[in-house]
Amino acid sequence: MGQRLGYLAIDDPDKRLVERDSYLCCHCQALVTVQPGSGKQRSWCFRCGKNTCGAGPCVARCIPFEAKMEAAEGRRRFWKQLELGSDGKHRD
Amino acid sequence: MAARYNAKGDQTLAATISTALTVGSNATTAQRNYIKRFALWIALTPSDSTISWTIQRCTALGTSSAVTPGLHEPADRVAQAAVGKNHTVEPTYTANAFIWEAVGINARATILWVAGPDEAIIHAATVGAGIGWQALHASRTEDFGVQASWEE
Repeated sequence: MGQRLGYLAIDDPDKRLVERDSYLCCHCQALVTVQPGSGKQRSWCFRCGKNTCGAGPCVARCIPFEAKMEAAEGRRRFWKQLELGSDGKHRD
Repeated sequence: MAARYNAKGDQTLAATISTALTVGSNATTAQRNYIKRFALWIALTPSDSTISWTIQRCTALGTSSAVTPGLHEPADRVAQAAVGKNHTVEPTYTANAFIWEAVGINARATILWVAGPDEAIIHAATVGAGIGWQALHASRTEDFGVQASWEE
């Protein structure tokens, strides 16, 4: 089953309303608008089961965005543990 | 079910990129925010010209006027997110961590984005992490506005 898409609208009063399907890249969270017939090549990640933005690093390797965030949060926790003892006080 | 909040920010357009709104992690209790919707517009008297819009991740939220987020459901607790508008010191943006990079759209237009049912723009639960909405134009000096809704 395909990814359920988001919605982007650009309402210019002098022109017709532009409505596009959109999605967030499953690897970098770039916001991508779908333009039928544009000829732009994106890609599908079979591990995530979602669309990518088509940028080189996102196509070459599957690192889900969730994993990147957990790594960032883990780094912060790691440094915090080095800074503080189990009693919550600074180590000498 | 996650509680939903919204906030509005504004900033004066300038030739250098400037930030109207940031939604970030709480300064003492870090948490993720799940941005589900945003709207962008130009205030006052819009006329034809291309405004460059950028949405980017940051690691420090800069200096701004604090915003008290609105609650979609009045019975929910107050928002935990750190929200700021009209930045006087720009956030520390993460290089190449763009959600929208310099997208040019006519100043007359209002832009609305709504996330798909299973997705949201998310930032890490680390102090200072957040999402910033920015714009620039070479000569125009109207205000631009951003409204965002998120879950936490």
